[in-house]
Amino acid sequence: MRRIMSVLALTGAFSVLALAENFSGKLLDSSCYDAQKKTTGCDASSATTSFAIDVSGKVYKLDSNGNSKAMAALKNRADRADPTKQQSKEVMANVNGTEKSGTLTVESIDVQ
Amino acid sequence: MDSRILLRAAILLGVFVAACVAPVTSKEPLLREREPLAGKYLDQRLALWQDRLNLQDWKISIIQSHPSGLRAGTLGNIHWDADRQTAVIRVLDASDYHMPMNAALKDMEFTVVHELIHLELSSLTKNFKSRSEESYSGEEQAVNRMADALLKLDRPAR
Repeated sequence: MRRIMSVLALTGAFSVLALAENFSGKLLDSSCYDAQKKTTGCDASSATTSFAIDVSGKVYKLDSNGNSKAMAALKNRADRADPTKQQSKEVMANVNGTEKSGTLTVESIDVQ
Repeated sequence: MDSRILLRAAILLGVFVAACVAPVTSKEPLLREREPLAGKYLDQRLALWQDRLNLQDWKISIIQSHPSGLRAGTLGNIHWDADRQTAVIRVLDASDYHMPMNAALKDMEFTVVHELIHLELSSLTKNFKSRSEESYSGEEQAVNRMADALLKLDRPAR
């Protein structure tokens, strides 16, 4: 019985892991995107609380856990700007998670 | 006979003087040699600056990144985890600097010191829920000035 339970647990764990995908793209302010219905001018910033990610033109929202992780990732980072160049406001990110109805259940997020 | 000896001595002296006053030209490393050389140098300098800034409790690593791995218009960045006291500093790869190696190393060290100062200051803002762009911009300017001052003290004008 214990063996069967272990096998079932492992199968469940592997099936969840197998579904997780990597989503790479531009991090957006989800509230801005909802209001404007376009990605231009909706780059995520340190003031953003709800996030979305633009993956090659398809926009996915992050779940609440993903929003917390994205906020922390943006807060705990800093750049050194090149004084000879204009610094981009775009925030690129890699999100690992599962997608359902346009929302990503985030397992991890890496912000550039 | 005496004049020959004198002539030889004069030539030797001339060669010696020429060697002494000639500018020292250090051989530039090949492009593929720049990244490993810079890696060694930066690891040494990181240990020194961590010690000077009293950040020894942090586990900090340095990664050289090509421009595609950095935010556009930047020369480096730092990501930290305050709970685990870990941080990763990314600096522009030595092979992407279009300048002599020595100048590139100086600028890469500036990035390291710059990012360590950001880390030093992070404790002051960790409870902030959000920050304005002006606040970040002000911090960036202050961090640049501090890094510049520290490195000037470290590199006295010759």
